[in-house]
Amino acid sequence: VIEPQLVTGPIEGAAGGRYAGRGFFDRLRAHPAGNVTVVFLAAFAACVLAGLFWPASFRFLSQNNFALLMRAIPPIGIISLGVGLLMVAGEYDLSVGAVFGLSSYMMVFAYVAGVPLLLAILVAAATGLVAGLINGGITLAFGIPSFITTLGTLFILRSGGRIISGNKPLSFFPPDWFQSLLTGKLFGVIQAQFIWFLGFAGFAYLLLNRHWLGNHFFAVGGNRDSAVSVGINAGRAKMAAFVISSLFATAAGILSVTRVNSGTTETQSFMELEAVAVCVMGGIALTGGRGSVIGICLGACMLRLVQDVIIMAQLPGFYLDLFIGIVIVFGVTLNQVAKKKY
Amino acid sequence: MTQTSPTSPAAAAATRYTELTRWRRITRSSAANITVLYGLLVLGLALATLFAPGELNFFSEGNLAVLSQQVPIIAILAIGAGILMIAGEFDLSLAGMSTLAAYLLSLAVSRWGLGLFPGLLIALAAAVAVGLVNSFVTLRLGVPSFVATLGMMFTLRGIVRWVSIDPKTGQPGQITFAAGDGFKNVLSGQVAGPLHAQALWLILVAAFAVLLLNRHFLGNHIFAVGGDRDAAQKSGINVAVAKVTAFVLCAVMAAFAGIVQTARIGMVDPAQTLTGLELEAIASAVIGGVYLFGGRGSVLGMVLGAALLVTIENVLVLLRFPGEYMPVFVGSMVIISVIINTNFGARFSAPRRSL
Repeated sequence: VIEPQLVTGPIEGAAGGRYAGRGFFDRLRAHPAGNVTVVFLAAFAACVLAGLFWPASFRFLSQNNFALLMRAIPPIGIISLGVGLLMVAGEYDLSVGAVFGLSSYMMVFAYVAGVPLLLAILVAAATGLVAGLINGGITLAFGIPSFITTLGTLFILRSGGRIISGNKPLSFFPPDWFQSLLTGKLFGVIQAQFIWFLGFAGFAYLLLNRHWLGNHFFAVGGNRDSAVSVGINAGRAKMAAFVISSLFATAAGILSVTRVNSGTTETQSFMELEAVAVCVMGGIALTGGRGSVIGICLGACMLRLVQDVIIMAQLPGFYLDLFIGIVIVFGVTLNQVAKKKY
Repeated sequence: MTQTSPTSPAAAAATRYTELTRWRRITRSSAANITVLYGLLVLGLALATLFAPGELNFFSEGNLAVLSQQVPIIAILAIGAGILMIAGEFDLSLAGMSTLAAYLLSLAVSRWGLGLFPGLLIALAAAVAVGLVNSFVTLRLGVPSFVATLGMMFTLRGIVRWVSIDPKTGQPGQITFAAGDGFKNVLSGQVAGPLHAQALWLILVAAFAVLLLNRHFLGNHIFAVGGDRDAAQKSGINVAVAKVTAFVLCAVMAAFAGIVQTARIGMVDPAQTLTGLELEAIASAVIGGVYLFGGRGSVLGMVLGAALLVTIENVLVLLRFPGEYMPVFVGSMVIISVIINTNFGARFSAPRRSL
């Protein structure tokens, strides 16, 4: 008799154990982040080689370039971590770009109005929390697909933010300790933002693989009915995932606002779609129930690496669009093959 | 069923709706909500105009002319997106497709010197190709269509920026639409008073869509495939043919809408891929009562849904509201419509499914 193992251990561990007898490459391919790890390492190695070969024209190995990459990765990386956790739980969040802009603007707005900084951060967190509760509440209460709910809240929150801000950016000059805590440098090279990104990744990893909530995300996303029948509260797990997604977007917004010293609701559009692309690249199954934090991190690094290469090689910008488009389709196909096979 | 019924179950089912047939039939139509809603909106606008003449120039000839030029573009897109949604799939690459078609036509005429009809053929071929690629990725590779077409949206955006590169400057740029005044007038000329040619094209497209959906076996198959794919397959319907038809139709209608819009504005801009047109099309279809998971919807609903969106936008402009209020309205309407369609309309036909 085979004991059911659904909620006793992390799925990743199970997949690793199941293929433990096989070769290294089988295990690598079975891991959700297997593909992206190989691709990222290969791309990174190619960039290093190109940087050594053409040091004058392809300045990949310069300190400036690494500093640039370390500043560019964290916002999209942290957003993707939240979106990825939600996707593991079987739902989508397309409103993260709007939450990113709105909640960080609310923090700046409160701070400029004279609210102490820590309270202003709480204002941002509350905004994110409410957005997550609305997304989750509508999706779960009415049983409509989350990509429609969050598409609607994307529209509402984005233009709601524009109405509040009147399309004008606000300068944000926090106390020095806060500025350097979020955007300073360690040993002259390592950007504090990147450390924050690693911190969030560590938190997401612990949540997904070492906490019962992460286990529930996998179970609910993988097979909702069997999760419910073994006693998991599917609604609570999904609601938690929605809130986490919004709060991560808020955190990314705070980091970004502090870096540019200006709060604006005119955020980079299509951040939410980039986040989905990052998650797909990182091996998160679109249908939920499969994914890993390391995959999301490497997916975010990969996206910004490609962007960096395109800028440095002075290629036309449309290559990035083509890359994202092809990666989405190709990545989803690969993930589905992997999910079926392993 | 605690009471004993004198009639057989079959007879009971037959008589259950006889008293309420007509009312029931109206409320069961997927376009019922939007017809009432749009009727009320126009009524409200008429009353507002009567009470405060001069304040709201909704029924002025100039404004009606604007509407008769703007509604058809969104409505044609909504019909394409709506037919595809009835077949149970989505297309997010509409805006890219319509911009690309307009670009190809303009380039063929003005830069490559091929003339109008080869240009139209190139645009048509591009649309068919995009529809086929979308259906291949969705049906053969098994990628959910909203992700497959999300990928196509990025890809087309890249291709548009690529074809829009000006050989002189090396940068992506606008291009004027130079297909001749005759062609321009056929697509967007003034017919009579506020009525413009776009409205006639919309009537033609809508009639085609009605005939296809309600009078042709392919339309029947599209409904069947979207409503219950497995049952359709078991009853011998070729699922792939129905879905590929819907994908290609959607892309071709997007291309047509793009060309019509370009004829009116007189130029194409690569930034047109970024306007969120695909979301407006899906919003129109959903507001018009098309069920998100397929199998339910009507052409009348799609057209009225598009008319509602454009009318509200127009009224907000007339009342000098900032443009930011429009997305708030679109977003809430989409959520509310999907809730209504999913929880109330759908119980009459398609079974509820998760995505």
